[in-house]
Amino acid sequence: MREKEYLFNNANKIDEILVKHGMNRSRIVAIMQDIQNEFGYLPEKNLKYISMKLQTPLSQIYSIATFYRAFSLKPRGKHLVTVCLGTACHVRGGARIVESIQKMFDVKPGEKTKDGLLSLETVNCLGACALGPVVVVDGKYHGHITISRLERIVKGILNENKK
Amino acid sequence: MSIKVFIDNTEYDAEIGQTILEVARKHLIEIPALCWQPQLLPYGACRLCIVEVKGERRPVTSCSYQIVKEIEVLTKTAEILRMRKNLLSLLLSNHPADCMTCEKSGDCLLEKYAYEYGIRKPAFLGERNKVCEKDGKPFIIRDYEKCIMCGKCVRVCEEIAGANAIDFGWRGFGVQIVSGFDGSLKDNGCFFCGNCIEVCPVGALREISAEKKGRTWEFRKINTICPYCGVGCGIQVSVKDNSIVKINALPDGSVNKGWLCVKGKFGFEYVKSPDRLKKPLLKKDKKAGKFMEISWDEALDLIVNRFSEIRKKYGANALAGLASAKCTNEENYLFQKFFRQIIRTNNIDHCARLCHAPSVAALSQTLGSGAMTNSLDEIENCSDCIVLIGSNVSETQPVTSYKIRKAVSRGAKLIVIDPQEIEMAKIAEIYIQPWFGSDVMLLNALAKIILQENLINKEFIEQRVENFEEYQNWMNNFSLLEAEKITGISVEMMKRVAKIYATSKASIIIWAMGITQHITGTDNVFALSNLALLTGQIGRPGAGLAPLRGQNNVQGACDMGALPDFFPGYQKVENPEIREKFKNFWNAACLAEKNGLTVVEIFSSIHQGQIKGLYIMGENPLVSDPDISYVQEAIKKLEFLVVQDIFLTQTAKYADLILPSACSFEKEGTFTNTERMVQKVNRCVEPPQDAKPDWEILKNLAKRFGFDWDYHSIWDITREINKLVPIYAGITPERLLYASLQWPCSDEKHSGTSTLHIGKFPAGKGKLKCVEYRYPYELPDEKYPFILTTGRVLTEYHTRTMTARVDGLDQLSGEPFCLMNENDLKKMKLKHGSKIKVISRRGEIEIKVKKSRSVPEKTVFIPFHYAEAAANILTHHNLDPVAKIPEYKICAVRIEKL
Ligand code: SF4
Ligand code: SF4
Ligand code: SF4
Ligand code: FES
Ligand code: FES
Repeated sequence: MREKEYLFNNANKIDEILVKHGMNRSRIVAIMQDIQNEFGYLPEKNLKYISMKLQTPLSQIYSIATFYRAFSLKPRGKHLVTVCLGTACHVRGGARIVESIQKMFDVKPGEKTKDGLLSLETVNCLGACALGPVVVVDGKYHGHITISRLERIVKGILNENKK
Repeated sequence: MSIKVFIDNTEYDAEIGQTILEVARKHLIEIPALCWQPQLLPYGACRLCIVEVKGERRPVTSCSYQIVKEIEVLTKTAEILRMRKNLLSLLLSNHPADCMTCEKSGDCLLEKYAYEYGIRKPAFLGERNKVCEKDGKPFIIRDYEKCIMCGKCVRVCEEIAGANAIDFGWRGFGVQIVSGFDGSLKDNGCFFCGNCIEVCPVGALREISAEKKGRTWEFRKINTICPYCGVGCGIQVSVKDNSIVKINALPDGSVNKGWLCVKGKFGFEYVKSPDRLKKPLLKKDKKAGKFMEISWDEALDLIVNRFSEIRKKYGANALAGLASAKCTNEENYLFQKFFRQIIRTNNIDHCARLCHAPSVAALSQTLGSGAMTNSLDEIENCSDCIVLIGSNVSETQPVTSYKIRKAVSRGAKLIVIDPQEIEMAKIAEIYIQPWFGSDVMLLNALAKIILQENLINKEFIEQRVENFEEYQNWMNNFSLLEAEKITGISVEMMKRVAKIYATSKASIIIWAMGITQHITGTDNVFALSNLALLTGQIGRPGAGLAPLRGQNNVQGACDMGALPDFFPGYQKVENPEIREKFKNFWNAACLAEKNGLTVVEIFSSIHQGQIKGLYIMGENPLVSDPDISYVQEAIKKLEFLVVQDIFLTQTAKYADLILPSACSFEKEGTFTNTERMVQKVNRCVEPPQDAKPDWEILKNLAKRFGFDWDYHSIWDITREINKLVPIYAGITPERLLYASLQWPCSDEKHSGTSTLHIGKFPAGKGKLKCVEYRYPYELPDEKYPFILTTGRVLTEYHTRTMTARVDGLDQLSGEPFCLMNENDLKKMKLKHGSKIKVISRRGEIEIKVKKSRSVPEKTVFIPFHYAEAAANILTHHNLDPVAKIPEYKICAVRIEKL
């Protein structure tokens, strides 16, 4: 008899989200979006909880969580820089941008800085190839970006924080 | 409808809706295909199966292209071949060039196609997607570096097994097969059915058991039948050096259509267990329980002497035998023949008494035959409404649950009725949870609604049912409101169920121990049979009554007359003509005239001092029978106990003499599965040392008794059965070589019977039975406030003599446990995993508790398999008055914290 047993914290918050979506299995992506917004990432225990509540296999939930770039399975930093590495951006220096951000702020792609303020991620094509290279900082698109301009933008938001 | 198709300029017939690939395969036209699996929905991912269709601008994937009009197809144009070669090169570029050390080599489709398309080196050398191995313990290797993302494993896991343990993860170049958080299969609800291995075209998924044991061409491959449950799956056993390396499902022509469950696929390690009995063993002195090895001659002489002595002193009826639902038809035939012809008693029974005696008793009365009326394939393909009542089929007959799952995806409506929220409830149209032991009430209520709402099948009743008026009158006083009170199911819900059942084109009712293991077991089955007769839902493909049999050959053991009241083929012992027939055929001086004793009666007769000697072939009543201490006391009172088994079971420990027998991989014969299908069992490996097939032991024993049992091979016995048992008359050894046959099969021209009772019942007309509701024998009270219900789990079998000796199964479920509702646990301040004491009026056991949402409150579920915490210490041995089955499903217990 397979009884999946999980332990849960902050189940209340998740219950709220589930109720908001009417406990509807087909709204799973929207539910996960809400969880992502609430916690800044998708905590494992919460996904296990909704898997049980919605009677949806964890493998499917994990499949969705890894498919969409918008989801993150690790806590993200307070601010997020996403660098496009799609073909168009790649040939226009995307990789170099990643490299210099990595050095400048001591953060690897897919991870966050020690102080938890900044996350660096990469994507394959944001659909704005004409503007390449493209970088998204906290949801805002920056086209034809240069390394120095990006440095200024990022430093700017980090300083904002220190104040 | 048939339609013309031209493939490579040759004309073929096709059905509308068939795919090009299906037609091609049927006519042995080779089109390569990697992601196609005939039993699964088309997927169209690998594109290797592309062909040209005149009029289509681009090549189409033949595995998903359905034929709706006359078309012309070209499968081997230069362009197509070039494209396929490209696709293969791409796949190989992302694949370790490992064939020389790969376990799958010789069986691998990628390797085969690379060979056929002459690809020596991948054309594109670039970055390779390296995915590491993932955890599939204890049975499966998940070596995803070799994965070609055909998606078959994901689809089989969803469409067939229903486990959804795996899925696609990530995207683009990084896509791979994942389980939740990339954890182990075990933590992701995997059932370990192994069907993902069966479909994987490459070496990405493999059996742990077969690692480093050699490659496909080194193995001897023998087809036989799974030794576990009543589905009777066809298996192919790979053998090397007299050891089983792995087991695969037989695809076509088998009951299972290419699928298996965890026991059939992985549960064979017991065959080579060092614990196997290898020599006859004689008890040295009664108390110490020590045995010494003796020779077969000594052993057989001892039986002759002791049995003759007992018979002389107390009469033939002081001896009794328990046959085995694990042994072949031929062996069970010989066993009853031994007792009837040589000992001259009818005291023979077997464990069917403890499972489906009520089904047989009730259906013989109402229809004239106790077997399942339809085939498993009909459930998959024909039934429109499936009522699953008292059967946790995904645990007990997994492959049947796959068939139900397929039926549901085809659009059949599944109605699950069970006090436990079983796995199948998840895909049910309606799930209802009646109170324990209220089945008669519920089923009568459904019948009442069918009458009231005029959902009856008038024509059917007029032609094929007697006593309708009597039944209708009796029903007049039935109150639906009372039924609502006793079952806990609203009238409205019952109406929905009745309506779907009565109005569907073909409805089938499937049941198992949840219906039969009650003191009202026979009444329960009467009530089911009433429903079928009122609505005419019987005697057509897909419509009928289906008691699912538990053990691999329990149907056969019944058919072969391992029963106290029937000769083989359900020919009544008390009928003088029949007796005459057997007497003459067997050349016997006389045969016992009265019905013998049933299993539970045998044990009470031992208590009363009437039975002194017992011969047990392959059964373990000391775990399986109710109220174990009672059985134990009985066994100690015996003057002589012979146990014939493959292991030293709990029961064998009490034997005076133990005989080592061969298991089903080590002998030939036939098994009859739950749908009356007689199938051939073949020898794959040699038995250990002096162990012998049961039929040889019985034959030698009969010879010692001075009877001329001249069977040169097992098939001589089969031929004798053909002559004596009309329903098996046409099921001859010669025919069994090529096909399995469903009884009744009256002669060698008859092709077997898939659906019973078309047009007519063996009893003439069907009989409706007025059955009054009775309460279970023991209900909870203040002192014993919980209901105990027993049952089975997927990864264990019967009393674990086999499964406990399969390391992987033991890892999955080796420790005894019980299930309780999470709310009860909270109330009693118990934790998941704490130890508790379960106490009934008959005994107590200590056991770990698991939190569950499937069992209702105030209930404990305990699997009966475990000797260390045997549920049957707690159960009572009060019987159904007709079928003499004990009520395993309900007794009252109290829980204490430890
Ligand atoms: S073994 Fe069966 S349940 Fe487990 S992953 Fe494979 S197909 Fe799914
Ligand atoms: S593991 Fe095997 S079956 Fe599953 S996707 Fe990969 S190649 Fe296909
Ligand atoms: S379903 Fe039954 S017969 Fe089939 S593999 Fe499983 S145990 Fe064996
Ligand atoms: S490649 Fe960067 S936006 Fe398309
Ligand atoms: S077999 Fe047709 S696309 Fe894979």
